[in-house]
Amino acid sequence: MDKKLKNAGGKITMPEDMKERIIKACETAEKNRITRTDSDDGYTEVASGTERVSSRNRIIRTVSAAAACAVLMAGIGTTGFLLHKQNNKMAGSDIVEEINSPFGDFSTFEYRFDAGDGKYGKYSAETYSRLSDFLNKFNWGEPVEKPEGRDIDADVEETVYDIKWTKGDTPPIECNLHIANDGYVSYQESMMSFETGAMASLGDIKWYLIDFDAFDSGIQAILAQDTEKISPFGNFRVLDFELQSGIGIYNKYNSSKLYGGLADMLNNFDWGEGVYEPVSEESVLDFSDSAYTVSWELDGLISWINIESTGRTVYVDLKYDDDHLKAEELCRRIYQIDIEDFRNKFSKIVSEDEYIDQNEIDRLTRGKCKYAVIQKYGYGSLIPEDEEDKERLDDLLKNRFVHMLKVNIPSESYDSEQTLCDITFEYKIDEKNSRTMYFTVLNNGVVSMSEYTQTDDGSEPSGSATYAINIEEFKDRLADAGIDIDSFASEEAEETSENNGITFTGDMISPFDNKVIYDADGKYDPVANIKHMDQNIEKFISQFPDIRVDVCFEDENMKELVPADEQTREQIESFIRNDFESMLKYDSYSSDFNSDAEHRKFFVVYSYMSGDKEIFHKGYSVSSSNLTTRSDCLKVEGGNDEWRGPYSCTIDYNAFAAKLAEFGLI
Amino acid sequence: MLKDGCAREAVGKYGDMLYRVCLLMLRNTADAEDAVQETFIKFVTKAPDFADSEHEKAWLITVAANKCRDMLRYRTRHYTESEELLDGYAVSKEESGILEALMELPEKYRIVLELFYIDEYKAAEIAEIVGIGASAVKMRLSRGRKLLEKKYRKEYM
Repeated sequence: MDKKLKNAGGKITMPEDMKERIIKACETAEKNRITRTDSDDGYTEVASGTERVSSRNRIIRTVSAAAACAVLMAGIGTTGFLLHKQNNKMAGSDIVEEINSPFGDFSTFEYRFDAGDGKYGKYSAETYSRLSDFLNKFNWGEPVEKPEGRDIDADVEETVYDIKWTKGDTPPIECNLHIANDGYVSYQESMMSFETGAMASLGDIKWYLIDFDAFDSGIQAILAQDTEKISPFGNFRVLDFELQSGIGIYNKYNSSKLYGGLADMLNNFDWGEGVYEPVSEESVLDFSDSAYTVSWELDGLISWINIESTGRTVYVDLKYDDDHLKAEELCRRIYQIDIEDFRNKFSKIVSEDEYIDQNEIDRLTRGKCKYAVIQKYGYGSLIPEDEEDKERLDDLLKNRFVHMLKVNIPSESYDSEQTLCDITFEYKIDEKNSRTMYFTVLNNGVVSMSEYTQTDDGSEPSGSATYAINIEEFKDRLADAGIDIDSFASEEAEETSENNGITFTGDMISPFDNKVIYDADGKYDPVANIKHMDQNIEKFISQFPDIRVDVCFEDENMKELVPADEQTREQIESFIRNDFESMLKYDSYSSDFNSDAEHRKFFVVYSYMSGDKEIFHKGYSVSSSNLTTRSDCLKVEGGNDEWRGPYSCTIDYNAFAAKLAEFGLI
Repeated sequence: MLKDGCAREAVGKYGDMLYRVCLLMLRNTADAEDAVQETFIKFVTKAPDFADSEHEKAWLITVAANKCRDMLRYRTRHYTESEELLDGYAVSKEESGILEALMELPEKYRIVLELFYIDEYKAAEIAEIVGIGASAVKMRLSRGRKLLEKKYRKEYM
């Protein structure tokens, strides 16, 4: 299969005409690069080219529009065309529309119409269609002189309507249209500088004076028809959102019933009134208390709703740079929701999801069931004492369990979570063959199954699948059969929570933030970033008065290298604490991709301990190719560890190895 | 490594590889073209200095993959194309089955499997390119391969 995949994949090549289009677009973009020049007036943005680069989709759209015009013209004929030209509108035609807008045809671009009504422009597509029609036909008049003593920033309070859109790309031009209640309209275009990333105005602001009452009443009439219930964050039926609950992720890959149900729930939920919170450099999102997270991207903005277990809900808009490395927070609103209500509604939708079909049930139950047993880690088989309960349990496992399985699973369902129980079935297929199925039921409702077939030649894996189950319903059924599954403590869970990780509280400082530091040329600065990370770690550990750092060397199999005596141990610890990190060089980007496992020789480990718990872990893997990578891990209770890295740097491996030899470790 | 003003050379050298990455991720030729175009535009207008050609190639894949993810998140207008997507390439009917199965996998498995099996990157290299840990790459390779095998056998065997 692997070879087949390689052969097939290798045959996908870019069509020649596509290559030519892309080359042309690149050459145009190069010509269009913005250069910054100094002039007597200070900095001036100068565009050295005028041709715009369009994506293929936009080209197609333009071509389609042109083609539509051509068809229209051909259909109208010469007489019709002349008539159209003379009267500016063809009598009786319902196709040709008058566009008075000096800003372009609103129906051809995506814009945000903010009426200051708290909906932030989140209207239905139908409403936008009506708005486009209105804005296109509205009489904006000719540009007027700038009203005396007025500038755009000072007008914010006066602005009643605010329309924003972008045009072009590399980089896009942002267009802003402000309509004030005294009838003055300002139109401004701005563009991001390649060099500084700052927005700079393109040309002067254009001013118009409109009949505000006519505009206002027209708009209000349209908005009054917008009856579709949508959330204050937008219409989730339209947004490509992803909802995360614990490790479960619900997105468009789930069934349309589930995804649509969640969209409707988010649209109809009572979020209450949001309160703006000022955005500052430090106001980085903290997801440490996150019961649910909803995220989506629209108009270049990535939006997050973080719902905490207390019901406190934070909504933010983040604008990332092209590399998705730097994020600027643009807006933050805080809500207080009824978390129980949210949880109930969410659970109801998820639990209503589709069950596996009859074919799958038949496949899972083929043959004759010889036995079914439920086990709990650390407790062995769970067997009720009461005979009737035993029968009920047998019936539940053999006849009902597979009917409780559902098809949709969270897409991130495989990663670490706690096991509720294991169920084993053995089915006899014929005289010689039998099959065994192992179901692992996880606390998050995910059920994973592995199947093995026993033949004369032994046992071999014959299938695996993952399902979901309504965990509360399953527990209830078990309780009916005399098994209170929650009364069996999870030894795994206890072990994890006792030995590792911390529980974040609201005011605790995390060692991780999203800050990325660039040098003066706008390049990733490895030295500054690692320094920043170390400073954050210092701040983080200062919250634990009993902190201690255990250090050691490990071999390539992560086995600790144990020194011969106590004195050598002290020397090793001193070396790791004081000297090792100064041997590392971060000042050049390292891309030695030959640094796979075969080159990896040693690990240098720093375990930050608070009491008996490891709360933070910093590990370096040192390769004989001189490449060293560092990975940082915040140990979070329950196994939800957070990782950062790997950060690449280099080391003089020979000098490092010599040191290890000196300690008698190699 | 390529020099400035080298759009033609860059497209010639990396075009097929980037197009494959984008097509398999986006499952739409027009979107794939947009993603590749934007990647190359970024390359010719604001690429950093590269240490070597491997770094250059990895940078291009990273930018393209990010762009694809971006488009997948924001995909409102263009949807995935049907079976005809692979028509027009020199892919046999038998071979197209495995690519179609690959394209049906969740995005996080697709990119990792493609870079590993088709472009022959190692796990550590994929980790650098995709921006995840090497252990996560290995996990995705293992699970993605199982999913692919399951899907491929179910649909095409």
